[in-house]
Amino acid sequence: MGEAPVPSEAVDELLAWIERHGFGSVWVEHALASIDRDAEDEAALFLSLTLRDPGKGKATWPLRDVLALRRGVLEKASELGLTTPVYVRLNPTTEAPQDDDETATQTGT
Amino acid sequence: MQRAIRPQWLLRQADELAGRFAGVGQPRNADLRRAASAAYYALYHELVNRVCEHLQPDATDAKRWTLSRLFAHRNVLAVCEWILGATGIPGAKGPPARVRAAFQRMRTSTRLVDVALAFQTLQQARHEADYDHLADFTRPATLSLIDQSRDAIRKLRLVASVSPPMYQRFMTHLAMCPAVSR
Repeated sequence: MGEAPVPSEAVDELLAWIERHGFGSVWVEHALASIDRDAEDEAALFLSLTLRDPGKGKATWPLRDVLALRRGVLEKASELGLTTPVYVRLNPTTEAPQDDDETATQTGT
Repeated sequence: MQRAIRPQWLLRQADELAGRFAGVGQPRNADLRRAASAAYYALYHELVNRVCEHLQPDATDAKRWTLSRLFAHRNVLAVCEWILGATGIPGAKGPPARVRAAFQRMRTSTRLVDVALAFQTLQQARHEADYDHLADFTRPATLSLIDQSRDAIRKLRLVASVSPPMYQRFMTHLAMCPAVSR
């Protein structure tokens, strides 16, 4: 059975909606969409959301607000008629170096 | 001495690997990936342990742990997707017609919906952590996945104590999934 194409207008509208909304203390600075295969090898819509960094002294965002974001995005996607699986990936605005970044750059490993 | 796979130990390991209590900076990428994976397995084992307890309440731990080996990740995901599908979440497959009414009742529990959503989110994250070179793992996002796993486990306990019929229904479907889907 063929897979239905993902309507790009609906995806654009979803991205615009995400960037206009705050979810408690969580704000989406930038939203990107891509189509890929998920763990079940089905076509899926992956939303990569760059969030404003967690508050000062916080290692991550409040879960309550992240859940509101995840639920809100899925509800909006459903409202827009998207039928492919939607997965939300989160990224901070500022990415600190990881512990072995320097070694990887120096040795190419 | 045999030591079981305890969800709380997996969550603790995930916290340590993801640098929950470390200072600034980020842990090694491989550690963040393993943390995401551990967060998924914590929820998976919590669910499966509970289903085994539901099926064999009087069995020894050893017997239940043996039973737990028979579960398939895909089947647990299917039941979670049936809950999400009943809520209209995109791409989540709706339940088979003969069990649709039961899933429509389950979807009225926002706690259960959060458990199902956490399972779906974490299983995809685990897949990316283990196989996808292009997936990006950061400390804040990985800690958020761990939070979601811990929250789902907490909500599962709440459903068990506050809504026993709802909980029993969920456990029964997790146990029956392969039979119902045939």
